[in-house]
Formats: sequence, C-alpha cells, structure tokens
Amino acid sequence: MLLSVRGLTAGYEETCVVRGVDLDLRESETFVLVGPNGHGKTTLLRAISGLLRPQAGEVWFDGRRIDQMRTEELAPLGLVHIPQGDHLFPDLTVEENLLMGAFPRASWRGRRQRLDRVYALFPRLADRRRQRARTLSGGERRQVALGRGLMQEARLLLVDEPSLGLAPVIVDVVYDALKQIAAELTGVLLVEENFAHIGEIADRVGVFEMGRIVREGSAAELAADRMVAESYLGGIA
Amino acid sequence: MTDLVAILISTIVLGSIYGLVAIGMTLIYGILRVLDMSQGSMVMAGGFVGWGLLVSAGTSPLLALAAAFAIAFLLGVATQLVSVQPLLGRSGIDFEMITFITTFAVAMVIQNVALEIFGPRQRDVPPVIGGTVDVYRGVNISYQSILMAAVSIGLMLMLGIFLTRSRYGMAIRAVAQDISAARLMGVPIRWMFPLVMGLASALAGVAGVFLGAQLFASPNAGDLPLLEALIVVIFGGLGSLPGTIYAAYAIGLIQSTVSVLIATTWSLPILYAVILVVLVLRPHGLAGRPSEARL
Ligand SMILES: Nc1ncnc2c1ncn2[C@@H]1O[C@H](COP(=O)(O)OP(=O)(O)O)[C@@H](O)[C@H]1O
Ligand SMILES: [Mg+2]
Repeated sequence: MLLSVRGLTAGYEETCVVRGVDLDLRESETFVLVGPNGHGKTTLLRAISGLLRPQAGEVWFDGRRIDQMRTEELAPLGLVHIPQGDHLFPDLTVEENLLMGAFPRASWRGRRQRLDRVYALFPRLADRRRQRARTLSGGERRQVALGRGLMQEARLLLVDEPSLGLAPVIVDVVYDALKQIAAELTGVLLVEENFAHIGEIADRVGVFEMGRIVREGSAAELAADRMVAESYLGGIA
Repeated sequence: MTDLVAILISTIVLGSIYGLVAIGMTLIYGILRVLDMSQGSMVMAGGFVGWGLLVSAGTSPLLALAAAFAIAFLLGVATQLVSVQPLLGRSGIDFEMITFITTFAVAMVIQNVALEIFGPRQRDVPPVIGGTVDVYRGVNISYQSILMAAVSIGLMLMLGIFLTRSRYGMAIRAVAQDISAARLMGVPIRWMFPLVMGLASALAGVAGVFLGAQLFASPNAGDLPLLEALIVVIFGGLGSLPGTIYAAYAIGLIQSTVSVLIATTWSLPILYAVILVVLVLRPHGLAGRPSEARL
C-alpha cells in the first residue's frame, strides 16, 4: 500500500472537520475524492501532509508512519502536496518557483532535466520563465503550481482542486497534463468538487461528505448510483 | 567640480556602511517579521573583536574581519534561539511586539556582559589599514574608507547573489513569501530562521570593526548604529532589500551634500526633515508595498 489512512480525525481548534477517514491507495493508482465545498477535503489533504496536526488516527506512507512528522520532512520522502489556491511564491519568477519545487537534495541535482520536462508539459511557462509569479494569469499560476509539484521526485502526488476557478480551455490543458503525470507516477490522490473532468483519470473514486468517505467505487459504478449521479454529475450525466 | 567629487565619494562611503549595518535588519524582518533590536550589539561585538585582534593580538585586518563575521554569526544564532525561536508559531500573541522586546532584552544582556568584561572605557581601534589618497584636487579619502566601502559593497553583492542564485538563498526568499508552501517544498524552516539571523548579525559584526575604527569600541558603541539602521530600514520600506539599499545611499547623499555645500552641523537636521516629509507622504517608505514587502 502506498498510502494508508486509518481513522484520521482533524479540524481547527474545537471543531472537527475530518471525522475518521479510512483510505487506501495502491501503488500506481489514481484515487479521486469528490465532494461538496466546505466538507473537509482540503483539511484531509492538509492533515495527510502534516500542515495540520491530526487529532486522532494514523497515516502510513510507503510503510512508514508519517502523522507525527513535520511537513518539510515529507517532500524528501516523495510525498508532494499541490495545495488548493496554488500558494506560489509571488515575488519569485516562474523559473525560481519551479526550482523551489526541486529543493530536496535528491531532486536538486536533476533540476535542469526536470525543468525541461515541465516546460515541455506547459510550454506557456517557458515563455514566462523570467516573470514574477504575482503577474501571471490564473491559468498560468495553476500551471506553475502543478509544474512546481513535478520538480520533485514524487512517489505520491496530492492535488487539491486543480480545476478550481479556471476557464474550460485551461482546465483541459491542466487535465491533459495530469493524465500524463498520473500515468508516470506511482500514485495520485486528487480532490475535486464534481465528476466533470475526472472520468478518464480516476482508477477509483470516493465520495466525500461531512468529513467522511461515504461511497467508493469506479467512476462508472458511482455514475450508475442515482444519489451520487444527482449530486455530482451535473451537466455531464 | 571638487565639491561634486567630494559629495560623490562621501555618499558612497556613508551609504555603503549604512547599508551594511541595516541590510541584516531588513533580511530578518523580511523573513521572520522580527524587528531585531540586538543588531546594535552585533556592531558593538564586532568593534571589540576588531580592537582585541588588531590591537592586542596584532592579527591581519582580513583575519579580524573574518573573526568578527564568525563571532557575530554565532551570537546571532544564539540570540535567535533564545529570543525568537521559542515564540514561533504560537497563536494569540503579538509576535512582532514581543520579539521586539525579547531581542532588545538579549541586546541588554550582551551589552552588560561586555561592560563586565571590558569596562565602560572607550577603546581606540586602529584603522584597519592606514593612509589616505588624494583622489581629485585636494579631495582626500582614507584607505580605511575605501576598504570599508569596498567590503560593504562586496558583502551586499554577495548577499544578493546568495539570495538569488543559491539553493538556500532562494529558499530564504521562499520562506519569506509563503511559509507553508516552502514547507511543502521540503525547506527545513526550523533552522532557516537561526541561519538568517546569524548571517544578518555577521554583516553587522563586520560593520562593527569599521565603525569601531572610525570611532571607538565600547559597550554602548552599538546604540547609535542600531538607531541609524532602524531609520534606514523604515525609510526604505520595512522588509524590502532594494528599498534598504536605496535608503542607505539616499541618506548618505543628503548628509554628504549638506555637509559639503552648507555645513556639517546642518546635515542631521536637514536629513531628518527630509525623512519626515518622505514618510508622511509615503508611509510605506521608498520601496515598501503595503504589508507585502517581502525580500
Ligand atoms: N483555517 C481554518 N480555520 C478554521 N476553520 C477552517 C479553516 N479552514 C477551513 N475551515 C473550515 O473547515 C471546513 C472544511 O473546509 P475545507 O477542508 O476547506 O473543505 P473543502 O476543501 O471540502 O471545501 C469548512 O467548514 C471551513 O469553514
Ligand atoms: Mg477545498
């Protein structure tokens, strides 16, 4: 198992947002969590990557227990979290942002080849390499955020709502890249609000409501489920 | 023409040393959001290192500068570990205000330790190197001033290259701009903070050797440089490195111009009048952007 989450509970101050999540992600699998806004998907990812200390439960990554480790210790192990809202370094250039993605020593050595690969995946970024991140458009920022996540030697990629706030054309660019990435990587845990873009990429899908995974199956199985279909398929049903 | 040359030379010398004293303060504020009141003690410590090595031990100037760098670096790391690190990430406190006081407390301790060891007497520090040169029709400049400007500019350039070109320098800027994203990249933030405060203090320590030679070494020799650094840093725009450099040379230019064209006694009143007007018109300083000036 690449990632095992057991009874994970997390939240802010007194409030508990993630309520006992169990989740297993196999080697070279892409698992997609779908659920409405504000139900705790982002909080779950933050608890996995250590940005938020879990209140209870365990997280195992690659045979190692990581729920008491610090966030900055996880990237060198190959657990890479691309956060919701990009979190770029606004006054670093595009290229510097990408290079920061290769900060762990093992990745730093191969940074030039990785940079070339990211530029091949997102040619737009090559044109903008000397531009400060704060001057980019929303779609370009998202591409930098994804590219930066690919600069590390990732074994598991956590991606939080990569389509959020993007024009449909850009969403296609982003998902074309994600498909390539998912095919190469050992594991991807992806979060989205609905099924709109994930049909082709998801090996398994979990429906996340009120801090729990309430249903699990292949995209096709869930699409056949009436309740799920009504809530999440929207226009594409 | 001679006036112009005199102003130019004096601006470069003054601006460079102001910059060297103040730039560490900006670096620390930019990454840690701490207005480090212990920077004056680093200047003072550098002065005593200079005095000790140049006078008593008779070591070479270069070695004295390197020793001041190293000792102030360690002192800065220790100061950070005692007065800032324990407060990081605590919720519900006014971090900027508390660290303003805790770093000041450390400065007082360092100053009084120096008083115990060296006594209150002012010690003469010899020029790092002696002699003067006539640059242009009677405009003189001491080798000491040339070296001071050269070392200051050199160190500031090296800091710039470190911050923009190296892996850890880039990480320092990343931490200043988005700390949780920097953690996600694997940046070990826990010891980036002591590293930054050590580096900043080391620069102040080197400045201290030169300032000690201009004036003298004494336990309160850091008080005036601390105040001057605060003024440069706020005039430039808190947290902005380019702003700090502009401010340092702008202040040097104003002081030099007034000294040469009017009279030295007028240089401070006019300088502070200009600073007052600029800050009232541009409260964020020369380069500061509202609340986001970060390295
Ligand atoms: N930093 C925070 N402090 C307090 N509450 C938060 C914080 N971030 C999110 N929340 C709350 O936690 C809940 C879940 O949020 P989130 O994990 O962002 O959901 P999702 O990603 O599914 O939209 C929401 O009710 C939100 O208001
Ligand atoms: Mg979210």
